[in-house]
Amino acid sequence: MTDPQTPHDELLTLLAAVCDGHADDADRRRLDTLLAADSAARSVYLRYMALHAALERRRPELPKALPSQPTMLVGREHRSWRIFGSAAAAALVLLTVAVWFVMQSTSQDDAVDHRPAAPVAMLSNISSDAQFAEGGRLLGDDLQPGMITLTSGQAQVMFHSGAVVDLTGPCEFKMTGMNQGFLLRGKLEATVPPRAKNFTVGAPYGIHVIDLGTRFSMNTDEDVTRVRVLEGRIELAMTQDAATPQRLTLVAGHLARLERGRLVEHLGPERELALTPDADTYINGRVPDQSLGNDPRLIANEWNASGPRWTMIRFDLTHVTDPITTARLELTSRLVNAQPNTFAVYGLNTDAPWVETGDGALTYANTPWRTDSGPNLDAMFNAAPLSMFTSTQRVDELAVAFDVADDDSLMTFLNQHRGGRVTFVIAEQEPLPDAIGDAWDSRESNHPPRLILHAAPLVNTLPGLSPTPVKGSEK
Amino acid sequence: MPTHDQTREFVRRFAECEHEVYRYILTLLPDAAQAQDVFQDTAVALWEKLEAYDPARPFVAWACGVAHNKVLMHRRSHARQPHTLSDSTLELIAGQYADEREPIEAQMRALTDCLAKLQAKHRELIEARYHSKMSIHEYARRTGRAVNTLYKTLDRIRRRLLDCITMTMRAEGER
Repeated sequence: MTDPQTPHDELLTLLAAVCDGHADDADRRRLDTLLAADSAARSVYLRYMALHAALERRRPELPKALPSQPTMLVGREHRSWRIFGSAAAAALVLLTVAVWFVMQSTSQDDAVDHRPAAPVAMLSNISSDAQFAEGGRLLGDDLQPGMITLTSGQAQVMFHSGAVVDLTGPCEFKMTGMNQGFLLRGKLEATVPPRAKNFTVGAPYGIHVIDLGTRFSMNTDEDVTRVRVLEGRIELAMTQDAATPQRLTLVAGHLARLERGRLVEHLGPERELALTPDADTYINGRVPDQSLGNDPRLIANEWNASGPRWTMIRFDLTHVTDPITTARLELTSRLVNAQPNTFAVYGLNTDAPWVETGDGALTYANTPWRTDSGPNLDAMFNAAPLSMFTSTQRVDELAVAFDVADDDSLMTFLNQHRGGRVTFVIAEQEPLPDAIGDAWDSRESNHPPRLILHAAPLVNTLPGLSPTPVKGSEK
Repeated sequence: MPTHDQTREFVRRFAECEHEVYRYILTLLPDAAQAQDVFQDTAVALWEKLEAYDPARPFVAWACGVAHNKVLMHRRSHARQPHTLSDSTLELIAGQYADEREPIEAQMRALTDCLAKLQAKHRELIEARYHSKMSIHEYARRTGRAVNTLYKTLDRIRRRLLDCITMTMRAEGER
């Protein structure tokens, strides 16, 4: 028992001071004396520290309901209902989407023919996590002209012409004929053998990609469409403006970006840039005045008991002038985690310089983005994370913080900082008191972080590649 | 390099005992930030020494042995900082930990029920102290309470939890 009148009262008071971080040297000496002298005191110490450790590492949760408190019975039943409610809402959305497509598909088909259409393709592959809004589809299913709506995962459609289309969910793709389709939303990659030459994929705003024996990828969010030629050649027809339709030939390595059917960017073959940081550090709320720029580790951990730690990695993009088309941030893990942690990557939304080491080096206390109680997240970061990733749980394994291509908030952020410097901030998300967070090798180690970019030159003005009027439409 | 199966087995075993390893480190090094650093070092060391692990030996005992060495190394490398425990007291504590670890492990299982019996305002303070991003000073400012009052309240809550755990264990023993 720990009644205040017991001989352990002083011991418990000292332990509270130590655990809460306000013990002074005299307190520590007295505690050591008490523990050295008495095994019963050591027993109390062991139990107290076990309690302290358990409280630190306990996952925050609702306390178990007491039988005498029926109002606290929000546990299983309530939560189950909410899960069901959420699933039901999702199902309702999917059902609505499916009905919309069925209605649209039916009305279009009605205008042409009431007979069931002959299959034009086959579902030739699906990933284990593939979900279709239309319901369960099976490998080998014949596919009639119509919509295929992949809500997640991947699916492969093989046209009877021989053209193969790999869809990545979420994606809405309509098969419109024996050798043609229409990408309403999402991403696809098409591989077209010579016998399926002229395989055509349409996209909103009068875009048509006509294959000339090749492999290409497309993605669209309706307003913005990107077409990338991976092998061979394609023709890109832009017919939004019926009076002056245009056609452009793209060759391997080229990327076209169109907004509302108009070509706004034509990029040439990409080159790869592998960058290491020009500065990296982490800041630690527990040692707010300490610069950690020389540490061979970078740590991110939101766990409160020892203060939050955030990793900051800066790259020099002053020599990157061409538009960036893909980006991948690689980190090498420096510790073992029993539980995977999730991390958010933010972009620093200011060009305020920061120093890694030496005079004025960045610390938790001197970060220019702060409030009275610590760094100010709102001022420090973009509103939403640019990317999320999960720790590898293994030493020396590669953690990919992001790996993105083409349109993305992250790509926008990077392109805004071309010709300057870019700082990423890594913070642990939904932290659990796991005491570890994660650590990665810093640039002071043998495995520095790497930012691998692809950048491509603008080629709009290259002879022979400028948009030209579509043959036959000239007046 | 450990094989895939060894790796998987390591992660499983480490997950089973990580709470205890951390508790052991915090017991020998009663400063959460330092204990966290040593815990990270220990996790890496366990991984790197995995091939030296004898499966016939309890994993937790091996892990605590590695953690013990890491604590001593940490104390040596931070010799200028004041340590809460002297070298001799640390060894006394470590020795007694080995004798009492099983009953302590059992006692901590009663913690969830004891937390549920706390008053709501006390549970809130525990959450603020251990699981929020706020410092105690910030929490005091927001709630209009004095920092010293909060520290004293935390002290009382921990005593109450220890009493509750003791009584729970005693009641279970009498069943």
